[in-house]
Amino acid sequence: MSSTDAFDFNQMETRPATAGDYVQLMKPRIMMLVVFTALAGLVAAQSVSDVAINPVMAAIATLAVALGSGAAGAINMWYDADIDAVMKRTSTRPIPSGAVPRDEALAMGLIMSGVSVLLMWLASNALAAGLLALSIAYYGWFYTMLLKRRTPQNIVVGGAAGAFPPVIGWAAVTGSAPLDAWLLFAIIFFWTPPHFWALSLLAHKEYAKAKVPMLPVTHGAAATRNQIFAYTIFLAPLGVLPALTGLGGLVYAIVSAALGAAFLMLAWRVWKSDAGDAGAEPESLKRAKVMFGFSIFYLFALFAALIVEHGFGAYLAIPGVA
Amino acid sequence: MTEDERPTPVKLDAQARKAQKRRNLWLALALFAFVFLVGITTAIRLGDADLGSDGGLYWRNDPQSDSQPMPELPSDQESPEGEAS
Repeated sequence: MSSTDAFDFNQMETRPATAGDYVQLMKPRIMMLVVFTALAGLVAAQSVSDVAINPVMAAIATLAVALGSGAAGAINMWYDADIDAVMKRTSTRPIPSGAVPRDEALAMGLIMSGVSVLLMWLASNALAAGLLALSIAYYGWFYTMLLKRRTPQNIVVGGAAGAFPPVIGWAAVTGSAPLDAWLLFAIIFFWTPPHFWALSLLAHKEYAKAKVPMLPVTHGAAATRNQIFAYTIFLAPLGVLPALTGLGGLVYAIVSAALGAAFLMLAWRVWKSDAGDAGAEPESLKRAKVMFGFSIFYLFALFAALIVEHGFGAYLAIPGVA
Repeated sequence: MTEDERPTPVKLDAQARKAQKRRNLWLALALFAFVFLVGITTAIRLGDADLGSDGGLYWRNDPQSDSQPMPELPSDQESPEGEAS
């Protein structure tokens, strides 16, 4: 147990909650990424498998993914309210700022979980609904309650929670989860550590204060920079792999190869820097910040390329690829 | 419970009451949206379903029941042996 347990939510000042507070509780920025990657899986599945889903059902399935993501976010904020109150970056969140009571956040998360899974089942099939339920439990329980405060590998293992959406989108259309869907899963899974560790190099003091065992806190900044570079070396070619299975066409191949090379270069710049060390150069911190920002763009661009190819008829087959 | 032991109702100020009303409105809208979405998915599923087939609208215990008629029950005259008194 951490010293943050001493935080007394009954003694804190409260303020009336706005609609915006409840939106914040659902972690809207993560939700955007989740919805976008689920949509890419859904669009690609329709094009690749020639199975059409009713557009209204597709919209409801996408909404279910968004609600599921929001539900997991609310459960995460309920459980992590004590450490959120300690860290400056998260102290303005709805629970530590006194806008939303903790119990209310938990109730909202649980009800939304049920609603999202039910809607997914009604709009698509049991597999997609089951995967959605699994991903909510994975993030809300396995990552938040078991991993996050116990191991520096928390975001490596926990990264799977954010990797499910394209598989869910794919399953919503076809009722199955083939290799191509799991390839998209793998891209997000291996993208998460370099993305998150770049941020943790900037905020490791905050994590240390909250006693969250992030890699820079437990193993130091140098080990974190090594891990960031190692994961990026693996991620860059993995990102191109859909072009070799035929899931991605020419547009995807060019985008993934160019952005993968850029990601690798930025990771190398961070690896060579002293980002995260005590008394690190401002330039080093800037490198970590740039890499963090670019990692978000990288993932958006890869999945946008898939949507453009499969949803807007821009798919150009690569000669020699099935 | 005596009158003194009754819980005192929480008195909300104008701002808190306004926030509560707003929350209630959002909850009502969310419930309405949920009912609407369930209704629309049901309507689409029913529209796409082949209601004329065996796996149609109603669940049947034995889809083969049309081709395999139920065996006839023994008539009253043919009472099983040993039961006659």
